Amino acid sequence: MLKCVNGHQTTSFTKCERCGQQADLEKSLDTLSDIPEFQAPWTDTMILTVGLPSPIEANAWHLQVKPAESPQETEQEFTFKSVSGETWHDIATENQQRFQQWLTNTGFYQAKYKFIITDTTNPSAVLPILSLKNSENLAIFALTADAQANSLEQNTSYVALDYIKKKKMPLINCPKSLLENLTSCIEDNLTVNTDTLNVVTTFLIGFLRDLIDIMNRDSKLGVWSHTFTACFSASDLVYSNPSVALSMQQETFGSLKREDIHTAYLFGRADQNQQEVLRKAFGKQFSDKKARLLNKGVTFSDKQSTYRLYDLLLLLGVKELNLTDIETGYNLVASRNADLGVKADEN
Amino acid sequence: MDKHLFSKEEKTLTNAKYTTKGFPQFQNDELPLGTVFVYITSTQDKQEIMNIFAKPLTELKNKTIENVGQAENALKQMLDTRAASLENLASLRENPRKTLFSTAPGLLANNENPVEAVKQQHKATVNSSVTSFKENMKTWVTNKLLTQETSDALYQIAIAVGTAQDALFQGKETDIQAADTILHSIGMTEPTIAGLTQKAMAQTLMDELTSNVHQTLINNTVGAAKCEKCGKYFQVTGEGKCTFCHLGIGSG
Repeated sequence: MLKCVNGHQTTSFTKCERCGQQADLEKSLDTLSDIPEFQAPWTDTMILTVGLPSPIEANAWHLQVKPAESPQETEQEFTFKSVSGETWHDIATENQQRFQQWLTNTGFYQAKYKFIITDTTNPSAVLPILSLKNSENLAIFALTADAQANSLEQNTSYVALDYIKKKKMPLINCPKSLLENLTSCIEDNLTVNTDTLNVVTTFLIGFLRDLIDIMNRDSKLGVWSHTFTACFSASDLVYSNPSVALSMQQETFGSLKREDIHTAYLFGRADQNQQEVLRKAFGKQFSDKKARLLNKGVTFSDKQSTYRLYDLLLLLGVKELNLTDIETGYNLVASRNADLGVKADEN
Repeated sequence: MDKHLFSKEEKTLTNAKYTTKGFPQFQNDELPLGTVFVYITSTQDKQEIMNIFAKPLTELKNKTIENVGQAENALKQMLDTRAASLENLASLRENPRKTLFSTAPGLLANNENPVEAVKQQHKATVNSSVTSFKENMKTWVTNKLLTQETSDALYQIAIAVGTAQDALFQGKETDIQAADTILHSIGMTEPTIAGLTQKAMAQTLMDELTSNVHQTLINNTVGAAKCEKCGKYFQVTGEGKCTFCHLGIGSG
């Protein structure tokens, strides 16, 4: 930058446009010692998928962790060498440092909204959870082992969830058995999509900013863990009206007691009339008279449907992440191999 | 610093300093040397004698060309370093992920903010390059290898090209126009930096600007030798004595 002896920015070496003085060559040259400031334009939304296929979302940057023949880090993929018979402990200890640097270089921590979709029964699931630094606006959707899973899966899932719990990262817990109970057809030229997990995650990603805002607000109220139930492509032919569809969702929570629910949110895709019905039904179902909640809310987006089908997902913030169903399997494995216990890699 | 450093009139004036105007001249076959006249008829001998007189001037010119060339190279090196850094930073700004993944892993190992690390690395490189250029120029002026006038002219090129580099990096139309105006003021005939890459721009500007002023810089540097005693122009370095009168000290 050319400056005159009085410090004005000028375009003339002989006569400053403001004061008429000549240029100060020393000071002007000194300005070249610096480089112009700039901000790197990181993506607003990052989705990290572990042990599962990436959902499709054009407005987000997708990252994936997966096994491969050789370890490699690219702008979108982190691969680790797959070895037969490896456990979460093997993968985590061998790759943690490399993973941490990769995640930083992808700009994950610079993203405004960070969403992790992980299959916690997969041995690669613990590596990201263990390596993650606490970060604002982060939420995890975790597919978790249930009582039917084998002991090693229960152990892996237990460890991943335990680290999530210890790090107090906002979580949507999705036991594998829950997926099986969800209605999974979607209206798409009358074809049926049976990939339920993909339907659920794609639906959630559609509300990602609201979802992460809600979950972060909940975490400030001490509510870290969430569970959900959902119904996609619901029809009045089946439920008679949307309020019935909503009330039936609660039944799928089974053993969950009313006093264990701290927050409740309804996400829906429906036409305007259906939205109104659902809003009222949600208000009635979660009224203060029935249970005093820390927070609740309704978020809708419009859905164009030839057959007036609608989608809804009820997200409940719960008191505590319950790991009792998978504790047996975890203990069975951890008692035989101390490396596979949570304390072995505690942060 | 006056604009006339880069004007044609000044080039003509300073070129005159290279004539043998101050030398004893043959008048037909007679060469006056103080109170003595030397009589020579052979054209070849006359030429040899004139070559002997011109020898210090030829050596001086060669030395001067070498000194100015060295200073121009220092300037070029500084601007090239800056261009390379800005080009890399522009790619970091445009696609940080791609740039980071193509950066040497050593720099990024255990680094919590890799973008900042790359920025700081380039900042340090550019700073060191500009500082080194400044120090060299000061040393050369102090040692009378360059005149202050020549140093100023090279500073002007550095500032003009550096300003153009920054304007190109920032991409603001007003900054680019201002940079064009500055370049025009120091001799770029058609200053249009918009649309150029950093490396291409630094190369183009340096080539045109230095070729425009190269001879002027050399002549100005010779001007440093203007002897206080005899007023002749061709003593510069070393012992500080005028090769013509053997008395004076070259004044800047």
